[in-house]
Amino acid sequence: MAGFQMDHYHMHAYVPGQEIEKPKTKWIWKVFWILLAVTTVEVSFAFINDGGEGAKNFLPAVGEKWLFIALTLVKAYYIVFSFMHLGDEKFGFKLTVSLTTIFLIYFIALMMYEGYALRDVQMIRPNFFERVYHSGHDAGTDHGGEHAAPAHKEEAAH
Amino acid sequence: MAHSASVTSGKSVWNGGAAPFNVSYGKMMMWFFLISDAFTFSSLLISYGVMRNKAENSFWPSPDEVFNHFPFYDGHIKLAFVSLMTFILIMSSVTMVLAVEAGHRFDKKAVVKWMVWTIIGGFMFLGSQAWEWYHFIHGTDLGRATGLLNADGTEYIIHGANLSYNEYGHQLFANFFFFITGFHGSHVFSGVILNIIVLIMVMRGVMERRGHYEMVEKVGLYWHFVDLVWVFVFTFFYLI
Repeated sequence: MAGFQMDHYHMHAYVPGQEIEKPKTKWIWKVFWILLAVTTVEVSFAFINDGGEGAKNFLPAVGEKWLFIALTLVKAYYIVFSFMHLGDEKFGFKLTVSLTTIFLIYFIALMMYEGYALRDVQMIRPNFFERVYHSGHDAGTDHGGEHAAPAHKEEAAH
Repeated sequence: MAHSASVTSGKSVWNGGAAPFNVSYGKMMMWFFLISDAFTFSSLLISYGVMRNKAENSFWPSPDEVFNHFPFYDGHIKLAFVSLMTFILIMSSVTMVLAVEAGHRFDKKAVVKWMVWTIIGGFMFLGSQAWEWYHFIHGTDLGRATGLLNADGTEYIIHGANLSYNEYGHQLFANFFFFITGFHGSHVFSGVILNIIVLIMVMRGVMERRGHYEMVEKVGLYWHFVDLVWVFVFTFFYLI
């Protein structure tokens, strides 16, 4: 069953001493430049849109977030379909791999909404995730004396 | 070719003995593992989003103000170092795909060359991550006053972040940072180890004896996935 082990890339098994073909790498570098360009756009936009103190120059924060997510999905498409060769696979296999992640859309929407809902819970109950430094709290016992000691300042200076 | 020819017309390819997707067992299982791993990373990033939504914006640290160091540069510049890390990982993904391409042509020398570059890129990324962690753990010289006093009467100031305190703000920011980048870093590390193992196999001529370089492709899939995850971590942890 040698054929069963092979995929469509390995139609021609290796013959010792066979002639090596010339590399065809143009498409790889094309995808590299696309990935680099998209990342450069993302980073430059983060600088251009930064008005300081959380203010935005061109796009409001919400728009900026959606732009970054859209550009990230563009990069993800090129990595998965070009570098991981999913684009060369059969249609059924493409669906098997990519359609499975469709459940994430609902999961994300659900959990982001849950995050907002949890803000109201915070008002009823004390938030045990946020560390509260109250006066009765002895820093020495909880964090260990070595962090509290002045010697740590010298350590952090370098 | 071999398997599709063995299927006579009219009979279903799903009855066994054929590969309906034309993908070998090992490669398909690598894809399925990567899908499950994608769900793990998604859950981590989604839980980060939930807790960030829950927290007050003012208390959640801005990554621009936390990760603004660059080696041999005294000032603060946001996104620079993490962009460099992204570039290193994309570059190592390119060298990996070049190794896979060379494997299709049975060019052993080129496979070895590109896999060595991929491994170097992986180690460079891990080193950068260690540098990033070091600066986050040590924090700023100024630190943050807690309003508490030490036993000797001096002010208790926290520097940097760990799993029990965070100089920059919300504790969960530090916890998620260590967990998500740490989980990704451990993937990069295991990817480098797998790359080294496959490189040794290539150098010893194992793939030539097998007649194909599919093992390079499988480890390549894993490596590209690690790059893919970093693209998302970069967006959701540093950009947004």
